[in-house]
Amino acid sequence: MKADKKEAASPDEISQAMVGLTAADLRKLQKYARFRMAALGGLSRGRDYEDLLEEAMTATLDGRRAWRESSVTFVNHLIAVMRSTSDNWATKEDQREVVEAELYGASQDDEADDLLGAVKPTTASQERQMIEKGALEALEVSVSDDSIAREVLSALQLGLKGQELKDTLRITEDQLRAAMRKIDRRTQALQPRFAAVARRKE
Amino acid sequence: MPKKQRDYRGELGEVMNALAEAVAEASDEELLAEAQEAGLDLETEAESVRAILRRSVEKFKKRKLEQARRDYELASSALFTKIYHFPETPREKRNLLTNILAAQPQMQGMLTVQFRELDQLSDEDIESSLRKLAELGMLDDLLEKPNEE
Repeated sequence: MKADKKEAASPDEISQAMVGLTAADLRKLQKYARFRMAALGGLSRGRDYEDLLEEAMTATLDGRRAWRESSVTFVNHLIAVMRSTSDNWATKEDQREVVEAELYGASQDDEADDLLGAVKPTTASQERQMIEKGALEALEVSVSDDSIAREVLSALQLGLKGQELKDTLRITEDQLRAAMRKIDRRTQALQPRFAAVARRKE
Repeated sequence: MPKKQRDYRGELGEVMNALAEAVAEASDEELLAEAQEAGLDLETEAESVRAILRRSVEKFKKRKLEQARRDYELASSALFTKIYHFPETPREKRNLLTNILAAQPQMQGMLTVQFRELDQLSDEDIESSLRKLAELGMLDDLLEKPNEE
């Protein structure tokens, strides 16, 4: 019988895998979770990287996201779960914002509605945008001493990735990796700003 | 024509997700070197992440235990709230249990009593023994027999 038919790992096997994680594995999970939560910005609604990591582990234990040891390492499994979970949170919160905006937008047309109630989300949303703008501009300034890192950052902001990014900027894989490492380090140095973005509750 | 507003959240999201994917592809050596360069205490960092994962395991185990306890309570309450049509008087119930065990002595194994001890059992114990046998489905024929007037 081929191993690819193997069943999902049991809670005991998952606990064992957790115990076996190395310092590098744990560092990878922590950094991945932090960046994914920073990507959510104001949509995180007060959740932090610990919530994302905990949710990935819980979903694996209770079988909502089965881990098949024969197909993927435990670290890569948790990363995949964090990726889809944070995407899910972003979509849900994005939809919620649209609904709220429509709701309050409609009430603004109605003179009988409470004016304070109509203004509140707009103010919160503007405040959040200011924090996100501030974090992004701080990052732009922090890499301004390195022309390649600055260009890579601009390309990332436009949504370019991988080969397309390298072709557009005419840089090598090594140059891209070095630029990414620099942006990573500068982002970590600006961690309090990004944490402030993630902490914003509306 | 008004200038299009910058989508700061979208841009931030693109950059942070790209950094996350670069981390996912990074080698162990790169991750460890980067942490050392940042002056991090790797053991302390690792332990804090492990603690988050451990917390999830503990919460999961606790939830499973609570679920098992709820299931048990539900099953127990069903046992004592189910209505069986036993004879009405204690004497009739005792006679019923005596007759059942005399006819099918193997049923003693399902109870904590012995046939010879029946006369020493309280009325409550007799009732409880009948309930257990009924719950195990051993009295289905007897109890579900339609009343023939």
